[in-house]
Amino acid sequence: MKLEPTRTRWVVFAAFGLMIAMGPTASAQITVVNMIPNAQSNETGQDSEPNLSVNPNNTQQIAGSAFTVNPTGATTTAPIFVSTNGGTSWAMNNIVPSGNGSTGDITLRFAGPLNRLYAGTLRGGSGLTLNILRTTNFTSATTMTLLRSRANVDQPYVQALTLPLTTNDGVYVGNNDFGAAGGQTATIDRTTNGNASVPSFVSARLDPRATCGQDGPPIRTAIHGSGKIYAIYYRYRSPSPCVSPLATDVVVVRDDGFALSAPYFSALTDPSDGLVGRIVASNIRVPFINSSQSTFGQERFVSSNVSIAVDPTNSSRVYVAWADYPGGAPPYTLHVRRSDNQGATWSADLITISNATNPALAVNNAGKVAFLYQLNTPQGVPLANQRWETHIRRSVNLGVVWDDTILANTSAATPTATFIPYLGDYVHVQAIGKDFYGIFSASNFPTLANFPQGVTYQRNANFATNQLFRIDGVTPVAVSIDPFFFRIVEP
Amino acid sequence: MTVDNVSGAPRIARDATNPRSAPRRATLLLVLAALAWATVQPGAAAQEGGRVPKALRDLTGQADYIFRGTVVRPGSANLAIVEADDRTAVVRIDEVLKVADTLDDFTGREVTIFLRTARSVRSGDQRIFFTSVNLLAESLGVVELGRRRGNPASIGAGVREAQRQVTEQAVRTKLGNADLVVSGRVVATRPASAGANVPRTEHDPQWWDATLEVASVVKGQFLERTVTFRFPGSLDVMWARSPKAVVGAEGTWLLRRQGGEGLAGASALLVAQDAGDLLSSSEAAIAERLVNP
Repeated sequence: MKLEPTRTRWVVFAAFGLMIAMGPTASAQITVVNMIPNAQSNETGQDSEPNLSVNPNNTQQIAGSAFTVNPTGATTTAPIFVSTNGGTSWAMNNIVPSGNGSTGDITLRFAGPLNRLYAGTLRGGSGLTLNILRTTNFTSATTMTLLRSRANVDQPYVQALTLPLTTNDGVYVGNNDFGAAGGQTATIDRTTNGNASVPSFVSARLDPRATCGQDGPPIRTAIHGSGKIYAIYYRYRSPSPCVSPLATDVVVVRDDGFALSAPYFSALTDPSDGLVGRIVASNIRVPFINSSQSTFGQERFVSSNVSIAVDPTNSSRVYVAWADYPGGAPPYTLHVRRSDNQGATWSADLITISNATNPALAVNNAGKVAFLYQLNTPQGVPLANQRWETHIRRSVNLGVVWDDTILANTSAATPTATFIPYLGDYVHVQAIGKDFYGIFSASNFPTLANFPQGVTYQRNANFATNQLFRIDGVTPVAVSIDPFFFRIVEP
Repeated sequence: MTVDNVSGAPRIARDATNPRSAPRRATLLLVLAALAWATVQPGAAAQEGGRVPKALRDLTGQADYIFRGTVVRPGSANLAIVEADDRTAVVRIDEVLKVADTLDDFTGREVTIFLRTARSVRSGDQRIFFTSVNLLAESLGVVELGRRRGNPASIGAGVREAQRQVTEQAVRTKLGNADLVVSGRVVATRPASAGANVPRTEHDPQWWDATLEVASVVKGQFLERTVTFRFPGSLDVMWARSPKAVVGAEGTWLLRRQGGEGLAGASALLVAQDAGDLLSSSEAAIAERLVNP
């Protein structure tokens, strides 16, 4: 069909308008890097549950973590991944204190101008023992300094920043503290002098409501430079006992002064009961099935998928994501919502993703929101035919319209899980300035077809023959789960 | 030399941000110089089964990577993340004497070593280096714990004998920490009673009970034909390396009468929960030899 000139102009105009609405993402430069260094070309571990931190003071400095074992046989330390060239290349640095050469859950965060890196870990070989750690030089050989240790804690999730007009670091470690009274276990261990030789920590309890015996594992925070700190958690509703799928509220709390003084995180209340903590989603159902699921790409469901991000240009604007069983039944579904008034009221779902996990959010300095997640697809097919697609979606109009970029599309069946979680109970995305940085875990099967944005491997790989090799470049190495770094340079 | 340097924490990164502010301390230097002198003395090598100097045995136990190497470029580094200085050197690995199974074979390759003492090597020096691998990047970055010079074959034999003794001591320690050590075949497994799985966490050990048909008692007083013990059945990352009892499998188990994770108050239970609580075949042979010399 031949269009008339005027009509052609309208079509072009409409297409251009749609492109504007979708966001100027076409020109973004996307880099994906397999983080396993060349010296570990023989590595076949399941490097799942990754976390990442870019130094806001120097974006060339980036630290990453995963369930990666110290390959030297040493049991006193576990590795982190370090880059000093913006994530182009990576090394492993064995500096995390351990009792078995690895860690349990681990997250890490740079604080700011003084380049201090903090980590929250479950110490390897010590069960549910929380360690809060610090290094002043993340590439040095010095083992990280232990700042705080206590027992019976799950999923330490660290955020940090250097407090304005000071050299003191605020460090905020969300954790599920089974030692908390009354089964109100959602907790943030916070200090406002994390840089001190012996920082003083306070365990701030978040949940004032009755639970079935505990809250959910993930407690995540988002810090705005103005002093507002938001946190999100799953409140497991009473009565006891807790039964999957768990009757759950998604709750957001807020502190307006860097949690410098009590009462902590008490700035938001819910109109339904007047108690601290705004209920964003009430009485949803969250599965807790702690075994590898062949119907979900070998991953498990352990109620660990919430995320929160605050707009750096507007401390009143905050986004949350969580996962649940809609109506109490599969598929596992992700939801994203937004508040424009400091968490007082919330939008309806901005976007929902079915049969997916690991939501992570970040907002850049243009107010652009990024939503990272991993989609198991197609739904309802045998494991051998399932894939894990790692998506990042971005929106320039407050979550109304989202673009969609696939970072990886890998087999969900190969390799076979050696433990759970298969990919992890979380991933991470972070915004520094206008750009986004993130990390995810996926199969390292070397084919460009699996990485639509391209990929760089440091370990020996032949993308023509789809083989991995040891450092001799000859001996084949089995496919495994590796951590992948990505960087999106926005125009 | 700074305190950081001599304490085994060298500054290695181009982007290192930790200010070097350590003062010189004459006394400390003297002590460290003496230690350095001691570690570079020709090794009194031991033959198989022979005596090994304690210093060599300790050094072998501390080092996770021991190799015979030739210094190629003093004051250099071959890792982009490392800033070369007078405490770094590039060394070619001529022979590896101790390495973990999970580390690749770097024989014939060059690595960066962080020296205990600045400017303490020259090009062409051949030494046995006792190191800890700290960085893995384009190649390895190894921190020197000590070094020996002398007849490579003799020192190599000494290191191997020291390693044998270190391994034997490790097994001895394991046996010492166990209340009961038994060899046998697993004849049954079943989930432990409900109630042990609270609180709800993805790291719940998911305890199981195993029944072992006892073939021999390596340590402890035990007269029954079978023994039941508890082990974590969870495949969560926290328990992935814990031994899993499988019906029909034979092995030597280290059992402790103590509460495991989530088993507080259940001190009468026998538990195997640590990665080393099921001995490897070589460890079992050592254990047998220790018990029946």
